[in-house]
Amino acid sequence: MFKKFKLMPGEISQRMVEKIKPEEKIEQKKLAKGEIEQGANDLAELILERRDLEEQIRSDNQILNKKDDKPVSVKKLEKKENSFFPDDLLAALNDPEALSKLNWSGISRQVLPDQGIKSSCRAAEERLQEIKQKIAELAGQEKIAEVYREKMEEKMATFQLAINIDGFKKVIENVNLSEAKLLAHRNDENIKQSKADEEIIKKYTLIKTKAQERIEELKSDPDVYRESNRREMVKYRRQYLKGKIVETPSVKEQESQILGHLQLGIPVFLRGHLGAGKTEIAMHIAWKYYGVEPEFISGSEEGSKYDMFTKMQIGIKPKEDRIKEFDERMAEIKQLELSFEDIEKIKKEYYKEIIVEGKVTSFSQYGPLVRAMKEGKPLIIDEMDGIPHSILMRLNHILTRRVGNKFKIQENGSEEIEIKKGFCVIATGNIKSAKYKREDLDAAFLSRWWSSEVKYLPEEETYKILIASLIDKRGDLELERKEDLADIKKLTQAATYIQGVFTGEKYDDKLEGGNAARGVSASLEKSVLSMRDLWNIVKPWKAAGFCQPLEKYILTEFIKKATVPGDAIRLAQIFCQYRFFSDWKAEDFGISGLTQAKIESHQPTKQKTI
Amino acid sequence: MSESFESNLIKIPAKEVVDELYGAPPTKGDKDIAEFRKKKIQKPEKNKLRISALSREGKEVIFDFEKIKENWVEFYRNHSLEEIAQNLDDIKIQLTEEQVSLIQEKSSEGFNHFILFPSLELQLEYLNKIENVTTNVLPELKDMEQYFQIEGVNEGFRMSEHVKEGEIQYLGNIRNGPYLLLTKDIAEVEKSTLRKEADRLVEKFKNRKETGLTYLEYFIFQRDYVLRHLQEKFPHPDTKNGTWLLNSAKESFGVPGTIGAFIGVTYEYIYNFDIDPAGQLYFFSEIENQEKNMGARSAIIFELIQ
Repeated sequence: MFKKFKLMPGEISQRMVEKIKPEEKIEQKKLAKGEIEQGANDLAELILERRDLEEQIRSDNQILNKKDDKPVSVKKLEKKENSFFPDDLLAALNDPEALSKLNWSGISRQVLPDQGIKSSCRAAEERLQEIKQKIAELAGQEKIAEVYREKMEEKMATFQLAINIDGFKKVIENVNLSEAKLLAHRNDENIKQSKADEEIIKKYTLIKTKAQERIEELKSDPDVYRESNRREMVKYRRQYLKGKIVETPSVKEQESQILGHLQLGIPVFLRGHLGAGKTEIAMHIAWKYYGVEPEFISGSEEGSKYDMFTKMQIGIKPKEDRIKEFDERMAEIKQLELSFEDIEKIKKEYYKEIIVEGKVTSFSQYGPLVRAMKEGKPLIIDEMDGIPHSILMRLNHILTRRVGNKFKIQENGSEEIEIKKGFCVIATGNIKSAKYKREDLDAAFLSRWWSSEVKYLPEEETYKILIASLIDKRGDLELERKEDLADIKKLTQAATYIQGVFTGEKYDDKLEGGNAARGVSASLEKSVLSMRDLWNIVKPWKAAGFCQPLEKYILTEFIKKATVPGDAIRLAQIFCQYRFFSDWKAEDFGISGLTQAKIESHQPTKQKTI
Repeated sequence: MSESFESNLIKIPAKEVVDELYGAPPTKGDKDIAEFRKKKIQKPEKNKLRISALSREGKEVIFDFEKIKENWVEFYRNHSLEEIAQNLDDIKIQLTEEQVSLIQEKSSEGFNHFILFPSLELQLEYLNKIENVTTNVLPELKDMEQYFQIEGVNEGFRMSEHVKEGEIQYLGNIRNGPYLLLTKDIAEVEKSTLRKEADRLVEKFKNRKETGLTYLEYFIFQRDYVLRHLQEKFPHPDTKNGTWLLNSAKESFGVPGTIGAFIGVTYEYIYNFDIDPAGQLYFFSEIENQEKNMGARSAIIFELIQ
């Protein structure tokens, strides 16, 4: 009934060893216990390196074989046979006679764009051969192979248990969705919950409790605990690299709440501050749970209701509309008592006039709202509070419509359309604040929505996502110094603090613009350190091999981008509080209005002690 | 001349990264402590079902299920419900590990009293008899503490006309077989449940794996309570406030409900079962010039594996 693992750890490890053993038996050495252990560890390392190299070679070859994507000039260059690889160039550069004897102008033309990849690929192939040889030597030693097999068996067992933790988590997630769907269906049909429903829900609760217990049980093993957490980090990394929303527990919680309401046919209004991830979460729900690209209305750009419902166009109608018109016109003609020949003649004329040439005419095209209803897709109204009130009122009627209901579009000759399954509405808007120039949403209008605040991510989740964006596919993290890790943590803490000052939740009268005597807190007007900004800081830092301190990127990628001068000063002060820029002087920042006194008062090492 | 192209980066292995982010895994010592804590709470022994738990006050309490069963068999027998007594006498109380853990957890929240019930089917078969025998005259009570009487004839609880109409529905847990009900041995409903709508209480209890009482469960509960509090000034429960009977409803109303009320007359109060306009049944006692508030009694059902 239930799916089982195809292979158990013992079988997997056995197969792994068989794959790496040399075909011919080699002479068995007398090895000490320590040497066997070391050999097995080396073998494990070499196999990992082999996988990386194979992956690199595959990827490089894919790029090198895509000839058609290259500009013509590059193709021409590649035809030249005597192109120089890095080793040749280094040798030439080290040659004392190179200054006078070699034609560097000519050489420069032979440094081709693909050479970097080609050289690396060639080196990888050489290294791969070397490694394969070493693997065969080690795996050929029976004792080493056996210890390696034992290690792998243990590792595979840990993997399987960690995979099962993911499985239990997914069971809980799916049971939640299943329960929400059952309740939504009952609610939709206005049917009272039956005893059978109650029994099912009771069982679901029990399943969730038991699955959670199993997770705890499995996690009591340190190896499984670590492997499960590593898998989570690697999953976050994958989501980050694909540009998707990173599904941390708080995001998942929000997702399930939103989905629960959408399934009940209730439109959802997501409020939140700048950069909290409102639009991202709305798009994510559409992709993940509805499996479609949602229809999108941007409040700041599409101000007209005609844009939402229908758009008038002047030009030639799309082909399918022309065919439809042709069919309609022909149907009318066929109603008339005309001879077959006459009908054929008219048909030819119509075909030429309507289908082939097409008439320049004005016609209406469905807007995103109508398309979403007709095609059963989610509709996202981004920055709804940017849409004029008079236009939003028109939405009022639509918000009460359910799947299967019909709706008349006035702009299109009162055409009636049926709302298809899958239609739902998610809107986003800013928290009411002087920071945003927005329309005040009418209370009666808002009462039709389930409104929820999208907050900035909790600090510990931000830290995990940030680290996940830096780790490699195995979860290892490479940094210039161990202290860099502490810097990333400080950056996360500073981000939380900045978010607090921006939203007004944090009181700080010591920052620029604050007044302790009058009890006035400083406020960030337009700058907040969102998840996106954090990525924008660490991404170039990582790309440059972490060789510069993180604070350099904080300054160039974030502080200096502040559009309000006061904000830049306040941000510099906050980062100083978090022990960045400890030895910097005011002029090093290059921020106008930032004086030495304004900086020193926030640098912990410079503060006077009483 | 040779240049070195070795990376200067230090590698922090995944193991250390996750420890930094999630905290170190539980050590053997942590696990041992957890095991020890688990073991401190005694698990039931085979064939001698006794559970040790902690009371709300942190004192050890023992639930002896053989004894509990004996007491309840005797209760039903003393109330001329011989078939129910026999049925319960034949059962062997066995609890699952989850049930034992739940009893221990709820004990620490103040749940301290078990009532053993036969299957709902058997309860319904003896519906009228249960109503009668749990509200008949108790010689130990003063005349004015007896239930409602008309011209010297005991009428039991006073049912409002609304309660009498239509069939009573039993909601909540499906009780196919005998079951244990764990509740709090208290005279009045808990303050935290007062002045709350029945629907909200149903939801609140459900979230805590608890439930309300049914009409028939209340009959048994109150008689058992009176018998154990005969010498007190107010031997009956719920003399100050009312109890929603959350797991019963009137069919004609079709919503969760309680049945309400019994009624007896004592020298200063009358017990009533009634039903509110939404169909919610409840029990309350009437005392002149006293404001009545409604609350509910929470309980946990342990279905017995047979």
